[in-house]
Amino acid sequence: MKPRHDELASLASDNARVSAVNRNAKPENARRQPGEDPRSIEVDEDMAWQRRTWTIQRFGWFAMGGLVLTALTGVFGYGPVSWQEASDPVGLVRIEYERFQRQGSEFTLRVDVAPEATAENAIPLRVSGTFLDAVEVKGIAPEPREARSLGGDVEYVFPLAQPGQPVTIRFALKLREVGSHSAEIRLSGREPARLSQFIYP
Amino acid sequence: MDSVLRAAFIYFFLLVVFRIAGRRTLSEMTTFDFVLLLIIGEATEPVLLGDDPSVVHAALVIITLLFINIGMSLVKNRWKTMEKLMDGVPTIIVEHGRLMQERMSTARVSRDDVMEAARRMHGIERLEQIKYAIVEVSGGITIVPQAST
Repeated sequence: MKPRHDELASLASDNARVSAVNRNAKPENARRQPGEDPRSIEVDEDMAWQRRTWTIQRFGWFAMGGLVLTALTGVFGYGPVSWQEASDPVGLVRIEYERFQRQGSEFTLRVDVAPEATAENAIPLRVSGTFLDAVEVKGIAPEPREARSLGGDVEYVFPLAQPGQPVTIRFALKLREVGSHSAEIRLSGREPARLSQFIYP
Repeated sequence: MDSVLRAAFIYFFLLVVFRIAGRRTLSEMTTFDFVLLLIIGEATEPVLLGDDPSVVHAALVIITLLFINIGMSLVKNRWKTMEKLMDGVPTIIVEHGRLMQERMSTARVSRDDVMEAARRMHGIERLEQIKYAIVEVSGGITIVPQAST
């Protein structure tokens, strides 16, 4: 019954300076800093835990701030780090795309074709099938004259009004698959321009 | 499956973020805090429901959130450490009319906050009349007045 007695004593005591016996008997007192009085109040205080919590919180605040700044660079999509260009080795096809994207977001993939490749009145543009698995093509401007299957890939044929001029083709895409995927876009029979994207969930 | 996982993720994400933000963040709610809370709610809503506003989906999400909450309260009851981890512990900041400055500044509580709570709850006028002030787990300040002699 001894601990019970101590408990009662500590509860009943209005005075903070309780007896030395009590000081040793109550385990919470062991955690107390030197110079602090034992308490009559029954609070489940744990200063060691509290201090640890505060430290973790401070780190957490820095982490949150860091995350906000990182997001401003575009690592999580739409920002300077994310805006990228790719082209094939000869430089006939140049692609503007976003390196980082989020699932379900829509974006425009811009394909510029150099005048050297637009001598005829149509250009065949081949897009790799793995890319078309990961995205949904909402629309293409200009509309291709035809789209035909080449193995897993798709070849779009775009008519040209003015052969010999630079051509820009825009793909309106919606991202469906999470994770990283890569795409190859080429003029049929040429080296491809490669791009890779990472899609956040 | 998707809606359950999303709801669970949001639950634990908000739990961690609000623990990091600390308990004084939204406890003494100003109008702006309240607006902020509404915006946070608005930001989570599409994640939880997505483009499927069906009754079944909403019911699933709500039941998942409540189920996790019940489960967590059971866990907290069973393991004290989990309770401390999720809710934190109370902290004494005034003892016998003496402010504990270091604790107060880390807990983001000012002398004015303490005096305001003292006035509101006990009509206390001076600091010396406070026996204990405690920052509770809920984020509020509890005042124990000195026994009048």
